[in-house]
Amino acid sequence: MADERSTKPGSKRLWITIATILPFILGIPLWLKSTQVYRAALPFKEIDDFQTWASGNSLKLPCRLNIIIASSDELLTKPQFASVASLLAPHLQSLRPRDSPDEDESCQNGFDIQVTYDSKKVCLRSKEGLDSLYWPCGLLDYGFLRAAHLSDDILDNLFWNYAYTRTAKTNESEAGGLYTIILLHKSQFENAESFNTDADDATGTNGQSNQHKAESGSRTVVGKYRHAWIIGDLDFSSFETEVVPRVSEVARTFLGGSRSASGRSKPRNLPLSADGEAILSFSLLNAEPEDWTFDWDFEDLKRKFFQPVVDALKGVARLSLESQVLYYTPKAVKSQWDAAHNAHVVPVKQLPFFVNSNEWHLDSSTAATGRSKLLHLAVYVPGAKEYPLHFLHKNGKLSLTDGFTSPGWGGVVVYNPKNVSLLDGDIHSSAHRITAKDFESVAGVIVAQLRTLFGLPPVLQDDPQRGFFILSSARTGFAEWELDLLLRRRAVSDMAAAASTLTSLSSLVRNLPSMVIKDEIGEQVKSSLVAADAARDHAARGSYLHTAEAACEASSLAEEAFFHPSIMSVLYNPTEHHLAIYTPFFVPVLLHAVLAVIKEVSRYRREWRRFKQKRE
Amino acid sequence: MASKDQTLPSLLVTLLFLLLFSALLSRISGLESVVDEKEKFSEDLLIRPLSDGKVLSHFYFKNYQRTLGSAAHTHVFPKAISQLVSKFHISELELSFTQGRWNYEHWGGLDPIASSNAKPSGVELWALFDVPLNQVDPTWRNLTHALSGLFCASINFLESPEGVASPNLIFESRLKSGADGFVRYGALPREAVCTENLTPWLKLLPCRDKAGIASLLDRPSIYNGHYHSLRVHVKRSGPERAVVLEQTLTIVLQPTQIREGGMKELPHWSLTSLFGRQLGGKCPVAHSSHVLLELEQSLVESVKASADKTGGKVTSGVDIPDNSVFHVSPYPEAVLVESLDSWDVPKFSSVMLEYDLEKYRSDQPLNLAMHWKQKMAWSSVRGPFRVSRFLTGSGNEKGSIAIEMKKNFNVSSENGDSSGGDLLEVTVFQMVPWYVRLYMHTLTARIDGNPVPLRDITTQMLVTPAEDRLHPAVLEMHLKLPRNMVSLSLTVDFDKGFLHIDEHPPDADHGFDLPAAFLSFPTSQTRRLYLNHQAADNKDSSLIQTLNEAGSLYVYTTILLVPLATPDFSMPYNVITFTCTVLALYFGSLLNTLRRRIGEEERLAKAGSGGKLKKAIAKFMEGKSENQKKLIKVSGVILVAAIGVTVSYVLEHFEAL
Repeated sequence: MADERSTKPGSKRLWITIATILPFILGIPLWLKSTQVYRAALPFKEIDDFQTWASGNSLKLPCRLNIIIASSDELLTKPQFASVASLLAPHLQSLRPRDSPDEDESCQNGFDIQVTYDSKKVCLRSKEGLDSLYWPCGLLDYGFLRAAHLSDDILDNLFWNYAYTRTAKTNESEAGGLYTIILLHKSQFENAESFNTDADDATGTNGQSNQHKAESGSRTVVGKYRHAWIIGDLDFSSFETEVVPRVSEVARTFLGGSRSASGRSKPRNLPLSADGEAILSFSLLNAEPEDWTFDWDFEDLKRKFFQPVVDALKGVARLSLESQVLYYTPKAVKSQWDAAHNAHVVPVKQLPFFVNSNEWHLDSSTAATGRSKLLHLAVYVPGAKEYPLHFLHKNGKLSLTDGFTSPGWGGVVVYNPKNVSLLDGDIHSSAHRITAKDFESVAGVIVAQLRTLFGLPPVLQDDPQRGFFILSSARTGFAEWELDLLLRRRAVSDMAAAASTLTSLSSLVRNLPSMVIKDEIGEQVKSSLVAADAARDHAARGSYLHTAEAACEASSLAEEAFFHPSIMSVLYNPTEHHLAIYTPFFVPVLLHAVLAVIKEVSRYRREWRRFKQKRE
Repeated sequence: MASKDQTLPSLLVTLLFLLLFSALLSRISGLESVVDEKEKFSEDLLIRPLSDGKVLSHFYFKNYQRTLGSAAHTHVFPKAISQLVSKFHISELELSFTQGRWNYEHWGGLDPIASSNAKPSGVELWALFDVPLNQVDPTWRNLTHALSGLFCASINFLESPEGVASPNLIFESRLKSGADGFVRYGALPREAVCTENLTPWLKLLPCRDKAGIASLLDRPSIYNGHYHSLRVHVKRSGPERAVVLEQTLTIVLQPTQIREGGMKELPHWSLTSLFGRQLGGKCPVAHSSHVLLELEQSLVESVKASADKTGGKVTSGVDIPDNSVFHVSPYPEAVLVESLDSWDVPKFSSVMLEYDLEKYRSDQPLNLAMHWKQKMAWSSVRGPFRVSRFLTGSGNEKGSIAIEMKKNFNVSSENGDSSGGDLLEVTVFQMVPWYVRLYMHTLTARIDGNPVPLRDITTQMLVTPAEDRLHPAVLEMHLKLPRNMVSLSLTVDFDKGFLHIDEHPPDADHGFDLPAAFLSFPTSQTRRLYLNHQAADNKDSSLIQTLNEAGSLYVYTTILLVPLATPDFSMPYNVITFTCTVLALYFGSLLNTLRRRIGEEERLAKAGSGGKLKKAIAKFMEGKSENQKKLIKVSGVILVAAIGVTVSYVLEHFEAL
């Protein structure tokens, strides 16, 4: 058989087979393009940058500390003052909040300290800064200070008045983080003794402290606003040992809050939704309506007790209130009769089982849309069989408050009706109304519970031994410096939350290439990043409210993007499905086409080789 | 006489003093109860023996909130409802969960309870919104989701507009005047009703089922009944837009009848035998709490007739609670007689026996019982028409829907009202899903079997044509019919549509339920006027007050089941495979014809003479005996089989891994 051919092999058949397969190959990019899902461009790089920033540092707000040394006589000379100022600065600069090793709660670069010596003749400032406006000299000429009877409360208001009415009108939102400590010489008060005793009568809470105070000789009070004052023997020689520790203690209190009685660690997150809202749902639980039923005029109670708290917390959280009365809501644990206390008692150990989730239909509220947070505040009215009901501590003492909180859920407080004699008389069909007067103690407990839920100690602890007092705000329950603290905490946690949510979103998006991402999500992510930047800007400028607002916006936008409904419903599109759809068509058709191409190419090459041999 | 004269002035003085004192007291208590009056809760239970031996129990809870306010603070009124009302701007809302079918023939159709509580089975929801038109549909969608969360039901299926109608005519009389807004109506005929719906419903009651009338609700016994309808009705009314929440539960139960010697025992019943529980007092926060036993007019009539027959007493003085036919224990506190208006009491009328639960406690429960002494036949008050709806035609292609009304009695004479003259008004509402494609031109009416032109009997007709996957077809007709007619039938033809493969429910061969049609008779009033002259007006049973109010008559038809052509659900894959085979064949043969040349192939085959494998086998087989050849062939087959088994085993094992 001749292995040569004289003519050039025909390429017609080759071209036909190639033309059959060519559309398939050309169609691949088109197919890829048509099956692509819409994905809005996310700023991955910015998110990563934000995350690296957030993992390294947290949002810190600046704190400014004004220390005023007020004295009528010549206490310090100019060089002495300079040395005092330089003494205070290093002590306070590196201050950390008590019991808190991590830096989250500290301020930006520690305290920015300004020391002012305000005497009748001279007015010295350690640093002529922009803050000089906040404290003009001349406190001692302020008329009220010479009044005969000064209680702590009055003094507190006095300082506040002085700072806010005599200085240039400052923006309330700018006041956050500016603390003032006033050092007063004891001899200023000729009637010092009477002042001390009066103070005890007036403030009431700091009872039994007379003797100790006299011994220690000086007295430190942290006020309701952002002031604290120390009254003592100011003496240059004893300044370092006497005054500096006290000043740093006050500063530490401003920074990290007062010591909590139980020494528990504070919850890191505030019980708020991402956009800073919470609903306080009050429920009055009538455990046994057959015995007696209690009702309340909640509008009245709200006006008297809770509205001031809500207003005070406005900057930190937007709270709304709602209430209901429930019946037949027995508690889940059995109480025992304790003859020693003449009461039915529930050991504190059993309190985790107190809430009866089967019968207490506290109900998630329909008003709570989206992801808003609900805090239950339940007032439990025991039935006649368990009246009076108290909680028993491990040490055998009755609880003073008869209430407990559960972080993130809310609190329960037992209300033992007072007018028992009346109840005994007409036990059946007795509907009662809780008056505001009866409710006062319960309201106090509830406000304390709210403080606990927000991560503050339930009550401010005085330390009469050392002459250290903290005034609590009777009306609002939250002092202004505590609100600053909450704002700082919230800004930190909001920023951290925003960063972590955005990071999770970006990793989710990168891991699921078949997920549709709408433009809306991209917009939300971008505005969240913008808000986070704004928060950092505001923090640098020291504007507390604006920082908190921007941080909150950043976290709520990030949350919104993450929980966008279109992300929630990712199309389930497994590879098996693709296989089942495409194989029946492409395998049999392409098999023929590809085989034909292979055969034709090999045939053409063979023929071409034969032709070449012939030519040679 | 003299002594009387002397005592009179002093008596008067004391009386005057007492009056003053009580006025003062009421002033004080009035001050005390200002907040109480903001919200009021009352509970009632109506029991009525039915003519077929069953017992109707109607639980009625009414909750009233005078001002909605911010809806944030409630005392007795459920917080969930008050927030729902304020959030979705609801003017009126009715939601019902029903199981079973109301027997209009035996259980009555003309009384207010049957008219407002006989509901189509499944879920029915309608709501009137006080919002601008463009917000109605979003509000409805949000409401369905909120309600499905609240009542643990799949009401959220009503979210899609293909099952929701916006009726106009039928609600005209129901909404009365002054209510402006937009109505949406939806029904889920297949929704199953169970305890999981009852529990959230009970949660709306202040005492739940811990005390009061609701404590009778023993789950096994109430779900064993022949009819079970759970209803929530919310309405805002009055100048202050007060919210009235009515919660009703209507159950028809069969008292346990023991067979004695081939004879069924008479249908005796008591609360304990019906519900298995006792009624120990009222809910402490209820304003009023009553148990009512209603004996219908025809029963009273036959009781009186039988008393006459035995001839014992005078006709007027039959003791209703204890007579020759039955005995009711305990003796009622009050007996109310139905009257036509305030003072006119007809000779035979329904009687209501009233028990005030205020007097009963848990150690002294009320066990209302009815003991029959002899068999008694009577019939319930039926509605003017017997309404039925059915499908005609066969096959999966087309059919027609027919609504038929047959007269039960002569309306003009028996019903007493002559306000409508010689014409009878009926409004028909029918909602049909889009896949049942109605041909409206085929709508025909027949009166007594003879075709009648539609324009002669309709005064108003509203037709909303269906739009595929968007709207159901809604047909509303306002008819004026001659009073002397016996039957009316309305028929309309339809084609069955085809659904997408993913639009079929999981149980596609079951068929598709068409929601119940309903008819209203604006001229027939459902009202039972019971006047209680003894009770102080504020402690009157709120159910009786409701019965006293006039309302128009509603009748629901049954649900229809339409079988649609169900596709072969594996069809898409079959189609894919089949088409692809054809295409593969086409490509293969096309390429072969274009490419291969027979002459060249033959030439090559001759030259090549077989493949390498064939040559190798031939070489191997050379010089072997026939037996050896056979053995090699068999072992070859075995080898192939063994390889197949191994491969399949390995594959299986691999999959398991």
